[in-house]
Amino acid sequence: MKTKKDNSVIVEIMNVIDGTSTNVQGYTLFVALDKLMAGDKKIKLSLKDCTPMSSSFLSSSIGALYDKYGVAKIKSNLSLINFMPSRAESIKTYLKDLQKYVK
Amino acid sequence: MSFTYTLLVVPSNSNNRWLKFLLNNSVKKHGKLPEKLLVDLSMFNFTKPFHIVSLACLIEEYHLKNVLIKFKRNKSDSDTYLEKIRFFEYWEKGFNRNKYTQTHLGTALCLWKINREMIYPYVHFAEQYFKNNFFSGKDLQGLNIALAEVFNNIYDHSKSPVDGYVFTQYFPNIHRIKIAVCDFGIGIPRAVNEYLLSIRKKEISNEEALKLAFKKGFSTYSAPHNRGFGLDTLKSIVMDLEGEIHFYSNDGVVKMYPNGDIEINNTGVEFEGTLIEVLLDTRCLPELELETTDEEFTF
Repeated sequence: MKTKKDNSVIVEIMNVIDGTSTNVQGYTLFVALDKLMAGDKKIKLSLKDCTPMSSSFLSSSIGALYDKYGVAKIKSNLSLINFMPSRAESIKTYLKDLQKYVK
Repeated sequence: MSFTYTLLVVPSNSNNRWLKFLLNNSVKKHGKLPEKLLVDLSMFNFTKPFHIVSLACLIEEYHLKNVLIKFKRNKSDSDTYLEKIRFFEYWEKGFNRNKYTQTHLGTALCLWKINREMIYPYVHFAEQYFKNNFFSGKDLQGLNIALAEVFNNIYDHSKSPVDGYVFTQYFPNIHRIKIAVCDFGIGIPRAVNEYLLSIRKKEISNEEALKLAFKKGFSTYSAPHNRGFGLDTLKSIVMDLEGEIHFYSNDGVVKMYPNGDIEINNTGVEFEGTLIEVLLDTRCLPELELETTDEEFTF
C-alpha cells in the first residue's frame, strides 16, 4: 500500500489477496478497503495480475462496501488502475446491478 | 454378520436411468450398512464427466461410513478411460483425494474432491493448464469464473455431506470443454423452498423453484452478502462461449442452450443433490487482453 501526496492510496489487489474466486477472498479485500474508506482516503485499486472475479468475490468485497457506504462514496473514493478492460467492466457492471437489483 | 453390497453400475446412456441408479443405491437405502462395497462395472459402457463425478459422490458416501471399496472391472473402453483418470485408485488406503492427482489423459484435469480451500488453486490451475496446453493466446477467464460459480454454489447452498466432485475435460473433436460437478446436498429447489418458508412465503414447485434460482437478483442469502448473481453470471459466460448448461437437482432439470433459452422439466426422479454439466465451445474463446497501465478508471 502506497500513500501519495494527494492523500490517495494505491492498493495492489494481489498483495492483499491470493485470488478472486471466493467469499473469503472478497471479505479480505473488503476489510482492507473498509479501513481506507472510513478514513476518507482516495483509493486507487491496482488490478495488476488480477485473476477473473467471481460473483461471490464481488459480493463480499464491492457488495459489502456498497452496503456500508453506498454508491456515491464508492464512485468518489475508488478508482482502478493497471486493469484489463474486462476486469474493470466486471466491477462496473456489478455496481450497476447492485443499484438495479438490491433495494 | 458382515456382508458385501454389489453396486451394479448401469449402462449410462439414459440420464434418467442414471439418476434412478444414483437414488436407488444411496447409502440411505440400507437398513444395515455393508462392510464392503463391490462396484461392479461389467455393464458400464459409456462414460462422460457427468457419470464420473456422480459415481464418485456415490462411492464417497459409502467410504465416509468406513465401507471398504472394491471394483469389479471389465475390458471395455470405459474401463480404460477410468484407469487413465486413475479412478480406481481414489478410495485406496492412503490415497489423498484432496490433493491434485495428475491423470494419464492429457486432455483432462484430475477428478477432484472439492474443498473450500482448494477452490481458488483449482480454478487458477484449470485456466493455466488449458491455456498452456491447448489455447495459447486465448482468454480463459470464462472457464475460471464458471468453475468458481459452480463451486461457490455447492458451498453456499448444498449442505452436502460429501463435499462434491468435479471433473473437467477438453474434447478437441467437438471443440468443447466439459465441466461436471456433483454434490449430494439438499438440492437447489429444496434450498429455495427452505428460504421461502423462512421468510413466511408459500412453498413452490421444484420447477418454479429452479426458475426462480436462475432469476437475476434472487438469493437465499446463504452467505451474508450474496446477491443472487451467481447463476446469472454462469448463464452469461455460457452464452458468450455458445455453450450449454444442464442442471439436475431434486426432480427438476434445467437445460440452457447457446442462445440463452432455458427449458425446465421434471425428470420424475427425486435426485438428492445437484448435478451440473457445463459445456463451453472453445472456438468462441476470445483473444487474450493486454493490461492497460496509463489510464485511471473511475465509475
